[in-house]
Amino acid sequence: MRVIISKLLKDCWLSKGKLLLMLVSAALSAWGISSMIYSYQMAERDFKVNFASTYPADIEVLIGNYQPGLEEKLLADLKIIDLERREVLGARIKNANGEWMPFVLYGAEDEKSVRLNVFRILENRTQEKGKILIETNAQFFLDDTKDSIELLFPEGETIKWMIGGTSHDPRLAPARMERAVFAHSTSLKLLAPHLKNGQRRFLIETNVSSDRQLLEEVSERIKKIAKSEGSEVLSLVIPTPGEHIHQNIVDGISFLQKSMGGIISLMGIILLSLILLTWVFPRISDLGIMKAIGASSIRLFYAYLMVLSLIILLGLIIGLPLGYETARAYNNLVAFVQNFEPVTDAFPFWIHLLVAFVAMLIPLTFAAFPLLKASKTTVQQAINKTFYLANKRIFQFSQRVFQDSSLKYSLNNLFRNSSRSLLMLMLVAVGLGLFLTGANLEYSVKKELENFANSAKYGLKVRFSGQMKQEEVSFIRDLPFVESISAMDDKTVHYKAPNAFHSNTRNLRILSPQHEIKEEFVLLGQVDKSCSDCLYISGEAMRQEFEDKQLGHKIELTMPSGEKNTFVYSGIFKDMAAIGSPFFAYKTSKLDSFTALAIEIKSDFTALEVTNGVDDAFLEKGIDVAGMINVNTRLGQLQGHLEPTYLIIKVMGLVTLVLGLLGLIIVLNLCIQERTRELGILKSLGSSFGKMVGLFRLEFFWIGIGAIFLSILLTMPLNAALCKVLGETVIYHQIPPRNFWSLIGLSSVIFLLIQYLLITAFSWFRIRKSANAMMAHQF
Amino acid sequence: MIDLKDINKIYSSPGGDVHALKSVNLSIQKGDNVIVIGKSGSGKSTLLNIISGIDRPSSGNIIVNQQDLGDLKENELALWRGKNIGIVFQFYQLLPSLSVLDNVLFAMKLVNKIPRKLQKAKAESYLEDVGLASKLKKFPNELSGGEKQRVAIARALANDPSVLIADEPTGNLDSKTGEQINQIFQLLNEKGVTLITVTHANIAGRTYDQLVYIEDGILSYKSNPKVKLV
Repeated sequence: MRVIISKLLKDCWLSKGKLLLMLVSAALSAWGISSMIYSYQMAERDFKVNFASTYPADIEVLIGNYQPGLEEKLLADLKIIDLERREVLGARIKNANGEWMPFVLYGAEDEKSVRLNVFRILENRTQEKGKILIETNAQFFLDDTKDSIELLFPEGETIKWMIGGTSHDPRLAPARMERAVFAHSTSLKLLAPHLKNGQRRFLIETNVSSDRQLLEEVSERIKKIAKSEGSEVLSLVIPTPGEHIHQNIVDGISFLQKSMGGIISLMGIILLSLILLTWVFPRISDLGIMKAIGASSIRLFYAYLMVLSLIILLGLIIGLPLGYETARAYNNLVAFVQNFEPVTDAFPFWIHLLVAFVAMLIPLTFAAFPLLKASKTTVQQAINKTFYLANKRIFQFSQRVFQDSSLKYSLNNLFRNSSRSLLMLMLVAVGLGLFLTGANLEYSVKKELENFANSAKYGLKVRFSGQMKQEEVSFIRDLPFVESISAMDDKTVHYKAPNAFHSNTRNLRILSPQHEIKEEFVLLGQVDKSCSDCLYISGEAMRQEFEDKQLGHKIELTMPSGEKNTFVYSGIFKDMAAIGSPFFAYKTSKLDSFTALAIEIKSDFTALEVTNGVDDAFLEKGIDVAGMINVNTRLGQLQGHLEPTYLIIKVMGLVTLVLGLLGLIIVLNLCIQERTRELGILKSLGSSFGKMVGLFRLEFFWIGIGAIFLSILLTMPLNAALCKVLGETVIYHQIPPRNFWSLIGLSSVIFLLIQYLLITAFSWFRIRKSANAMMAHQF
Repeated sequence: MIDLKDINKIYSSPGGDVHALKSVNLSIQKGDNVIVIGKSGSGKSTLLNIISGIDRPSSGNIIVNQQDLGDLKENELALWRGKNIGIVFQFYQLLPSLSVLDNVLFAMKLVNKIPRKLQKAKAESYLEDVGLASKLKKFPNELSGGEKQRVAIARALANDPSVLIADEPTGNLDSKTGEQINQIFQLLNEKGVTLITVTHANIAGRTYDQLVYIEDGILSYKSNPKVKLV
């Protein structure tokens, strides 16, 4: 076998171009596979170091009418092992551009006693005990020349606080994504004047943190203990164990990363197989000779396999570092979404060994097939070079369908090796399909959000800090940019959805009778303003929660007072701008007291103008506004969450497409090599190089057209699936899949043009060489 | 019609220059039947390459139908060849992915000398002439060696060339089939096609206008018009 390997290595060295391409392909497959494994390892490590080390609380509870001694009573429960006070304060802050933004402050009792939901102090500018630390990623929004912040509290009070440094809490959403400024306080001293009397918020650690059912039971006991002590539980949240707040987006990115890694490795493997074919083909007759003089199929196969292993091993040297860096880039994105600080320490050596082993095994297994096929070639086949057989059915088909001999020639040639052509077709179609999917997905989401923004009656929603009366806000109607207003009363309600393990908390938005819901936004049922117990749900998550309910079924909601009200399930509303998908119900009489206002904007004004105008008007009247959001901003936020997804899919598609085009060139090279004799004939028959190039162009044009057709077929179900997933997890509403036909058309034309240029340039160079070489030995 | 004037062809090789043709002068008249014979490596192929414009001489001129081939660029030469020269190879060299009819049509289409409307009828007529009227839709791999060579002849005739060059046309055929092919050539020559045939085979019984013998790149013998060897 040594002598065969030695011959094969010499062959390799003689075909340096192919050797280089094989190395590139081996590196590609190693890149894809290693990026997936490294990424998984990095994600696990980042999660452990960042999230798990914050000791996330199992239960977060807000107590009303707090009575001293409650902590001891709660800690007496066998399942509760720790309890820590952590208050949350909401205010508004003007960012460096002078725009209002939400400000959320988490206050710990003492920086030394932070045990749960731990935040790190990154920069300590003062030795004072109580200080305000700005979340490091939120500093971006603030004017860095100022050493203080000015806040507007819900009560209307404006306060200036010195910035004491910076902090980091990986459990929080990234400030840039949420467009909010987060901060921590190391003492409750500063917060105390703004906290509601009798309310206390606690973080609770249990010894049943991974068992949701047991956590539910502990929650019920907390409520009972609070009640027995004369307090009440105002809200109780059980964060999903082991999940980050943006776990859904992370899952999406991880899915894309795995897909990308999978596709790159697949491309690498396909390319490697193709190049192996081009390497083996000219040596088919050598194979015949070696077999004729005594080499067995198995010896030949193993010899080829050894050489292939060596090439893949060399590919690993390039592919593994690339895979590591790609995984690092992906995990940086994931870390950004999770507000993590990526761990950059080196992995233990065994992980690199594991990655190398897998990255070697997979391409070796797949690329061995062409070698096996070649080594099984009989002496007769090898000497006659009949390894590639013509596809007679296709020949007969083209004979019937086409009149033009050039068309027949190009199509028939394409199917002289059907599996290879099919492989190429798939390679290009997947690349183009992925790219189009990214574009179609972006188009589908944008169009859906745009349609909603254009059709939504109320362009601006204002949330107040407390209950308001109609007469207090009537001046808004007189503002020049306001068409109409509609009062809404938001109440926090608890409910247990069918089949749910635990109760959930959402807002119930009670609408005034004049509030209009456009017919197109009523996805199920009918609006009945005369029905006060009719309840409408919204959003995909709630649609799924209530999928077992039929219209007319009863739904029980626990009101803030603790009273249980029964409603009739009457339909589904679409309100993409509503945060948190609330329940909706109409009040049959005028809404005297309310917490929010929907404002219809006159068509001549922009949402931003009106937002600022309304804000100023409320400030002037001394009315405290807790939050204000216009439809465009809200939809922009949703769109912003999806930007990385579009980008990743498009990049994935483009990488695949580039690899596909590289594959096309490899196959073209193989075709020219196989048909050197034919090129000589064509030249002897009077064909110019241009015409010969034209024939190859036509042949590959079929692949291009086929790939475009297939890619469109591929993008439709893929886009529909992604619209469904992202609609459920990010937008919270169904996104009907749409096709961006003008972009599909343009992309197809550009793709064909690039293919045209590539095929022309490459085949011109190769055919000239081949045809001349052939002609020199023609007679 | 074909004038080779003081043609020299020198190939460079690692072992030094190889003088493949040495001061070759040859004149072939329209309608001549020329047989070229010589040992392997004597320069026969080089001579055919030069006449058909596949290769260019190192020095000297080749004039075919008043056209100096040295004046033509690469693509012009290819087009000229397609229109004026028909070539029949020893191993047929058909395009395997095209049918019998399409092999002929394809050659027509490459140079478009024959008006498009007439191409199909003409191709069918040539194939009928070589006895393949019933096999127009067959593919090369479905034909016998003799049939393949007939297709190659029909293809060589596709553009009504004034010169037909045949390189060992019967070398790969049995004697009976070879004889049939020679008869076709004879018939074509009688119709006025200039015929240049390279052969190793026994030329006994063949008629010719010139018999050219090459040895070491030198045309050592030219002969006798319309002599029938016996």
